Amino acid sequence: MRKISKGLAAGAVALLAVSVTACGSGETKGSGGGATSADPIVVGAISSLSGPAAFPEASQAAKAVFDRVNAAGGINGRKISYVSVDDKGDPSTAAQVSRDLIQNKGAVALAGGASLLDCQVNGAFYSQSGISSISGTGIDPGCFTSPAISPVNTGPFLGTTVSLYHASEVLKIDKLCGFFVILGGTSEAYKGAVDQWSKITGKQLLINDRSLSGNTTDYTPYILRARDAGCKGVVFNGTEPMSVGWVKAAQAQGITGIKWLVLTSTYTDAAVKAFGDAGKDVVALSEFEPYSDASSTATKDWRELMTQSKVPLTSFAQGGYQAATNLVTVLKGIKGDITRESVTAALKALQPIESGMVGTPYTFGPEQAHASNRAAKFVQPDNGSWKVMTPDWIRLPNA
Amino acid sequence: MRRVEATGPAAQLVGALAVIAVLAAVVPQYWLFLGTSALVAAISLSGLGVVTGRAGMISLCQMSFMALGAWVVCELNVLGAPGGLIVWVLVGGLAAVPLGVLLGLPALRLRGVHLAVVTLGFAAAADVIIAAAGFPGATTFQPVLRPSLIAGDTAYFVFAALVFVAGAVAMRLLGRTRYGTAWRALRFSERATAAAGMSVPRAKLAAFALSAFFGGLAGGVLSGQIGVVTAQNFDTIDSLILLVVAVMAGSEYAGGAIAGGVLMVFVPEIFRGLGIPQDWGSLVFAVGAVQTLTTGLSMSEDLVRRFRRRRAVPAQAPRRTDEPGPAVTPVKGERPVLVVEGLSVAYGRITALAEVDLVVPERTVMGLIGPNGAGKSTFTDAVTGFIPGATGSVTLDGRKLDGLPVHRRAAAGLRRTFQQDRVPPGLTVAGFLRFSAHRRVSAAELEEMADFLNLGTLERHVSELDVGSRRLLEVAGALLSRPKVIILDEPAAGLAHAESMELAERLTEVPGRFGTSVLLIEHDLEMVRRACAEVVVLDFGQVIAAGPPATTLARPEVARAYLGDEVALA
Amino acid sequence: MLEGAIAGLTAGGAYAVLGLCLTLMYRLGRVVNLAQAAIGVVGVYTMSVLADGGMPYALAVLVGLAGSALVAAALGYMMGRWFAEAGTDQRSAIAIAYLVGLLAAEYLAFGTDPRQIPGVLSGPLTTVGGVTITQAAAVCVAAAVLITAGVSVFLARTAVGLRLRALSQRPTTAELMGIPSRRLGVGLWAVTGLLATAVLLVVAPQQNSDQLSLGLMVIPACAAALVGGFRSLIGTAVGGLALGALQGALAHVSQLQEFRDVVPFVAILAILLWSQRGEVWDAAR
Repeated sequence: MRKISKGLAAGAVALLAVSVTACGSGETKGSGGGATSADPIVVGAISSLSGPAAFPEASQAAKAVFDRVNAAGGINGRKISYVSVDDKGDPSTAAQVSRDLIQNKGAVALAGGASLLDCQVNGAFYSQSGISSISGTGIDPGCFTSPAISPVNTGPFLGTTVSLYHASEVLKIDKLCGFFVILGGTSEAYKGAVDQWSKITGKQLLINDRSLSGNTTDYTPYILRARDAGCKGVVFNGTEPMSVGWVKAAQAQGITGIKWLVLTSTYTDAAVKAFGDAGKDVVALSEFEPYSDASSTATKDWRELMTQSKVPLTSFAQGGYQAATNLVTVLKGIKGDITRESVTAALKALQPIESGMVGTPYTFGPEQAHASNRAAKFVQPDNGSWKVMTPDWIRLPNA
Repeated sequence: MRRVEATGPAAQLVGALAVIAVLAAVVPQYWLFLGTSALVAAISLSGLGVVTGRAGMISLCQMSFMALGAWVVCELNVLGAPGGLIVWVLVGGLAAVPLGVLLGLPALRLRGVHLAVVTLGFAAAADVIIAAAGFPGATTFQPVLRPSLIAGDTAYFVFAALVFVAGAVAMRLLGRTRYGTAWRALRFSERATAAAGMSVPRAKLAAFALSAFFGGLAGGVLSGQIGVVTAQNFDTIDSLILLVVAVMAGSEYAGGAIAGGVLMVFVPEIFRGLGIPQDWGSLVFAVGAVQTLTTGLSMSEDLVRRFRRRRAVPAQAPRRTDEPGPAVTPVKGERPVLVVEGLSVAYGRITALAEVDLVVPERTVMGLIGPNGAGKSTFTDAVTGFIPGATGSVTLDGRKLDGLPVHRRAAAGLRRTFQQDRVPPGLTVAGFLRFSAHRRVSAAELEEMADFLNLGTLERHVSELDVGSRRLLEVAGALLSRPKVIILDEPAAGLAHAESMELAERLTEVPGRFGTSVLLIEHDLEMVRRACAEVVVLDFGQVIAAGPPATTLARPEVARAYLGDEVALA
Repeated sequence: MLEGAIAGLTAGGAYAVLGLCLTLMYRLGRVVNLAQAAIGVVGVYTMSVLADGGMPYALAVLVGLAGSALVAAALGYMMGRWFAEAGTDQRSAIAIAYLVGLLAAEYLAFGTDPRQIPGVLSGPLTTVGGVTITQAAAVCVAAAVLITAGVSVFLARTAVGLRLRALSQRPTTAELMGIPSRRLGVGLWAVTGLLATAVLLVVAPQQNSDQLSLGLMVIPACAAALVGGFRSLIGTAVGGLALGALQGALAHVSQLQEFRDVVPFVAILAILLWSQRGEVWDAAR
């Protein structure tokens, strides 16, 4: 046994050595230290590309934007090298790949990622490393509470608040309920989102059930509970397949007359197709100018670029596009060398960026927390595609 | 043997520390971060190695223990508890211990697949709870703070490595105690473990507690490593993967645990570097585990085997049969040492033992004979405490044993051996003898016993012995504990006739040499005649005759019991 | 509460059928096959991919069923080939490795995105006294009952059933008597794989249908099988249905909140400890 521990330890060391060389990233690049103008500008993104929920379009869209910039000559002659990595929806992996990006790859900024937990896990590490992140689709609560991160999207929490606000104030639905699937430690954040709505409107939820988990497979009992309690509108925060399961289960029960208020993740072509007839009671939130509205001028450039780059047209692709576009604006405005420090400094001093894609201008600035997108539009299924319900932005009043 | 001493524990420890120092000095930060992840997995795996590798119980909830450890560290961090991370990690480990004990409780009644399913259910339930409860500080954005001493990723790697090494040292020291041996024995037979004087519940709970402790430590180290942990760190499926890797690598050895940890982290990393989907990693582990189970040897065990083969153990010499010396006439002592009164056992309406009275005098070899099904083994089980429903009383050297569990009776000086082979094959001869002795024995004593019962080399593994030798080994182990009474259940099964006769000779020496009375259950009447000063004949659960062998065996009712009515009447 | 319980019968029926597969595998194949549901996922996802590609639903279902039966048979063959003499514990450890490997293989083959599973049983069947019974629930419960009855009769009355029982009790003797143990074993795996796929095809369209969630439905199924002690088919079926109904009913108990999924585990543990309370020792003697 003595020998064995030795032998195996030796093997382990050998494996370690092999993997260091195999991946060829043993050398560490400093942030800008010694970087010349010929070197590409490394921009990173951490996304959940596999695992419990996958959001690949955001980083694909961001890549399309950077590719276009490169094709047009880059930033002052320097090309952008975009490195998109997968965190598998797993915190350990997220922590690991963030170090890979920052310590090994020498990223100057992060932009266009869409991850279940990147902000929460790495927010502190980003602050420490002096790097800034323009999250393409901020999902976990950490994205909206970190000095180093400012997402371009509304996010599920503010999204919940806006959805409830829209339902109670615009659609005038009086009996509202909420059922929340809690992934990671998001329970408090959803509670806060509902409280925020209560503070603005002075109204309360009939049912506020934050007890569903990713393991909850059958939603029927919850739907029945909503019906029995007399809910007229139900906010459900599930991802696309969960929402489809929810609406299908309601259809199986023959329930009609309750509005199902779902978040952006369900605002997809696949979902509207899957809903079929059952979709008539669904109301979905769009964090950006609704992508499905082909006539909108605000989304024209985005639509063309995505179609050209074969990126699926989704709300996530809008987030990635928006984040990358904002970063390019920032990079172009930097005078002098583009380093991690200069990018962060530029972002801290950023003037609000207006865009037709969002209802409120994008900001970064020196604040300790960022949530600049405080508006949404709403869409509903109509003959197998999404139709815009609210031509004007629903902006959340400050409370 | 010299070479083994040269790489003794101290040298290994120094070597391990040197490896850590070198790695910390030369490997880039990113790879050290991965190394820390590997160490976290290795710490957890070594905990799993106790329950699954040593004690042979399938546990599918190691991640739940990790989650608790991490939770405690996060909570202490939020509370700003004194001591800093290093103390918190320890507290996290300790906090997981009660959970381990709690989970060990079902293991006292549930075994094998039932236990596996319950631990899996527990993991799923724990998943629900941690997903719902969340980790302290996760939503308020308070990452676990590392003390300045281990703030950097390099320093943290050293910290994690030291935790692992300390754990490995502790594990080795524990492995040498009775508990360490008991876990291996438990895997083979709970009854034999108890009969050797070890409390089975205590051994099982200790295994789970230790496993949970290491799990908690790993969880604590993890939370310090990545600062913010969420429920996704501790998915049910990860517990399953951990088990699969533990099986593959043989995580009951420190080397196996570290190899498993390295595999778990670096195999997916290599795939990632090569642009291959990381899911191939799990597939590799699954195939590896199936392969391991096909050969029946984990990576570590395989190496152990090879190493042992290289060491060229002398093949088992045929057991020596001495010329029978001058026949010692068995003598009967006077003072009663084991007194059994009115012992009855009934299974439903079938009476297995009816009001059996029996007295074994001190320093006496006594035979207990009877045809098959007469109740001899039931008698042994009842006297040694294996049958809770038995009525009547058992007194050993004036002390009432009624109501005491098996291991307490064994510790009081009432030992037994089994009809079936119950010697755990994973131990060495010396290891088994030390365990069974239930007291500190010198090497000289072991040698003397090996010589007395003809056991051969002490370093040999039990698995290399034939059945006959294992039976003798079991007797030797029980005798080493210097019991007042030893009940031998057919010890000569598997021995050649000449060897049986020699064993009979040896047994006659036992009372004089060890001060032990022997109750010998045996079918071989010649052996009984040779060894015993007195016999008791049992039939249909009742004592039908008792007295000196020559006269007792000649009695017609004994013949009838043995041979059937016709023969006796003829 | 009653409504919730009835609604839970869909899941309950699925637990029951999967549990029946587990019980059969344990009794006849000496293994707790934790990969049972994961095998079913192979068929469900194959069907979904094909249906998305434009294949008619019925045909896609047939191909899916065949696919998972094939995978199950292959796994069963490996088990019979390499682990014929191994004990139940070891064979179950193999099944755990199968589960880990299958899930990884499914991610690789079908991608990690959860797929929408098409289905035909989407509406309510009937409403009795204000309680809606869905088509899926009716099918699942009926399947649980029919499989219990069918398998009981099959094992008790037919020659193959008798052989299977002989096989499980005395594998070596059975082999000596000329019973083709390996082929029967493979057949057993294929049939249980088929059943698992069928029931998942019914329930998957109306629920969270990512591979992991579906694959881990084996945990409540194990609980159901434990109620039957991994021996009684009726016990397993009742256990599965009761577990589903209990979960459904508990969804209406708001005090329990997110901890309600823990209640079934506690219930199972209690049942198990009570039924096994006499098992102080590992071996009979």
